[in-house]
Amino acid sequence: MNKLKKIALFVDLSEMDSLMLDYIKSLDDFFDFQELYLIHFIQMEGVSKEILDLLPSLGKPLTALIEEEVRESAVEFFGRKNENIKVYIQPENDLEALIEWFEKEKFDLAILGLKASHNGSGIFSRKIIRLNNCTTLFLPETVKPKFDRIVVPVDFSTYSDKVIQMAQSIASQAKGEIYPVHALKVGIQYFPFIQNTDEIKSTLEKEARANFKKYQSKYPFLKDMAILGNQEEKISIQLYKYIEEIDSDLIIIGQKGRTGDSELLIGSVAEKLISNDKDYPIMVVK
Amino acid sequence: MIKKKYFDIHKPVFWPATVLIVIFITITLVVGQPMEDVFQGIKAFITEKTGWAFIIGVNVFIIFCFYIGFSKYGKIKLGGKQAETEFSTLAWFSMLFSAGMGIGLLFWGVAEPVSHYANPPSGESFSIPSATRAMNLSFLHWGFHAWAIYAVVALSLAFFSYNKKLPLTIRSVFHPVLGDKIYGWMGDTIDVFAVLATLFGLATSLGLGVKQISGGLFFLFGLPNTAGVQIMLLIGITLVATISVFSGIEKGVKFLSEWNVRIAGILLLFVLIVGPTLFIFKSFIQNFGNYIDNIISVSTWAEAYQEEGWQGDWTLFYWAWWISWSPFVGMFIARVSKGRTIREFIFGVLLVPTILTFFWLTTLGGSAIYLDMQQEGHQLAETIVADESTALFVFLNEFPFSTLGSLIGILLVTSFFVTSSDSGSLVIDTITAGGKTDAPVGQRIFWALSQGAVAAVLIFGGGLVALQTAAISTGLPFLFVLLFMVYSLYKGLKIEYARTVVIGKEHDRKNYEKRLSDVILKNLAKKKKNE
Repeated sequence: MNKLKKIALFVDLSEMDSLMLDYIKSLDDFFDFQELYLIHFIQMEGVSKEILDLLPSLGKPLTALIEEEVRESAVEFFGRKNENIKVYIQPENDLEALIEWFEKEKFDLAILGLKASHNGSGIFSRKIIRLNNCTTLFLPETVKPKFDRIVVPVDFSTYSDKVIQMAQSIASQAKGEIYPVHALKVGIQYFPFIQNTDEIKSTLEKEARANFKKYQSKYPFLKDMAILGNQEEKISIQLYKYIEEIDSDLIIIGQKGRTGDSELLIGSVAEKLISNDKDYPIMVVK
Repeated sequence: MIKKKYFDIHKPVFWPATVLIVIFITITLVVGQPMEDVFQGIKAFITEKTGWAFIIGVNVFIIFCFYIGFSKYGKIKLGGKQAETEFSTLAWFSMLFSAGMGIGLLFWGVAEPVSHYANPPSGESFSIPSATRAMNLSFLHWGFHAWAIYAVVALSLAFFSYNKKLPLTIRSVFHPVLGDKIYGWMGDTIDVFAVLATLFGLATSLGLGVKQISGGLFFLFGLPNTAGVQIMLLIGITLVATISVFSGIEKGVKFLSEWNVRIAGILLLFVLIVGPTLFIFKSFIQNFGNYIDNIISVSTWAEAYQEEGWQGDWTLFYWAWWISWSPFVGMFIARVSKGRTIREFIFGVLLVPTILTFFWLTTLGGSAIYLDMQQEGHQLAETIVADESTALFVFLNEFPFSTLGSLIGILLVTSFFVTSSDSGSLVIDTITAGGKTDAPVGQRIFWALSQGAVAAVLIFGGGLVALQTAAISTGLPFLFVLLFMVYSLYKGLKIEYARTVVIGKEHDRKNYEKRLSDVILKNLAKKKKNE
């Protein structure tokens, strides 16, 4: 399942595009992708009338224009003739049509930019992660194609298996190291009655370690797991601090945790990491 | 893909269903008459032990319907935002009307209210309270609860096939919970249950129809009203229905089903005019108010403080019957409801057929009670209760042109029989063909014949009790399928709603506009240079 063959890259004509292409190129060194689609979504509503009036004098439709532009940037990175690189332009602001096409193509990995510099500019990326059904990698502007330290949050749900397998396949190709981490979650049902949660915490910790032992016997390459247990802070914040401490190159997380919250369409921890993270690439495994 | 000419089935559903039906038919034929005791035993067991589950179930369905009808999910449109309705609202209403009209109402329209009036679950027979409660109970059995069951199934089918583009079969509904497992054995099992439920539910309906035809012929011409004659009639009409399927006179069936509703309407008008008109209008209002007033206590009444038995014959039989053939009605409603919002859908399906049904029950059963109350000795009610299959004809005999009325009654039941058999075989065929709606006609013939065979075997093995047992025992497992369906549909709607919210969010326009303009301007400059 971790054969990454067909890759989708969402480009938006900004400086991010070349950053992401550069990143993909170094990923390609490890994975040897078979197909790369450069996808662009035209948001016609955003284009002013004056600009649109200039279009006819160019003698070709907007989609063709953008396709050329996108192709040019791909050529810059991958050389002139590459039949395995394709361009898909979705016209007319039709997000549902884009998603339908995307689902049909069955990609192995989608790559999206997650910009920090402009407020709200990541909205499109955050939409796509909720609507698509494939593993998605978010790249911040500061991204460097490095895979030395891969942080993998595990919660022992069904997704944890997928996450570990994905991490292993990247780590083994890129000679990186996997940092498993688990955040303890003391159920709120204890709170009104118990002042001191240390005892519960230590039970939970033991339980988590026992669970992780099973994972280690299944995946012998895993080194010891870090445990986060600060009850005062939200799991996503604890996780973020851990990531900063490790100075991780990549975080791989499952689409959903133990409590699947379908209102958000992705797990709440994954959602918070994407919303708050500015500096680290995050891969959401589906 | 090449279309298979004679058979295009989904084997893991078709064969288990067929084998189970054949086993059922064989056992009943081999055991013979003692089967009646077996059916009686099964019915008593299921209604006594699991009656409460049915009562909880139907109330869950109705609460769920009201919840999604009023909630934010009510805005979701069946078929997606751009979907347009295929029928005008008026035409849609009349189709919902016709979905509610059928053999059941003809058979029980007079018989049921009079029966509750003559043999009430408690209290004095032939009294005013028992008359009021008779209407109340009949309304309960044919009212919102029945339509809530259909609404759940129909909405699930419509939502998952129109909005999620899954095949039009019961298993598709479980996609949010089971994922792609619906294409495996789990989905197959669900579809087998659906096929059996639909088939036995339909067979119950066909069996009642043929009993009524036989009753009418006895009443008019003195033809013996026995199981033998009923089975002969069943074979005869099933063959006619099968020929109509085979010869592909789709138009004929369409014509019949349109006229069915019209003739039923004429019958209704006739009784309304020559019968106690004023009483009908007055009691319709009163019955309706009474029904709304008592809906909670009556629908949750479970014979807890009294001897059991009445409810198993009536309420539980109905719940099970409606549940068992909900795929049949559900698929019909789903097909005509594309482009409706969920709110429109829920309230259309709950209100429109219910009000018509109530009017029908008041006009026929209510009038029969009224007529009986005017007479000394309650001869009319006694005769009606003595044999449900002749109830309609005994009642029509009170009016002018009674022979003509009865003839029309017989023809109407026959015609409903043919159309139910025809559309029923289409529904079962769709499920056993994995959701294809254009499977070869040979399969439909097979299912039309099996329905007839099952109905015949049921009449042979125990008459009315066997027919009721069939509905109850296939309704029970399907009740759990439906409860699971409620959960799955809720999950599906929740995700769909979240998706529409996400899709509707604003993008960052300003920055994008600038980049797009840059590309265009760059190209313009390039072009100028080349020139």
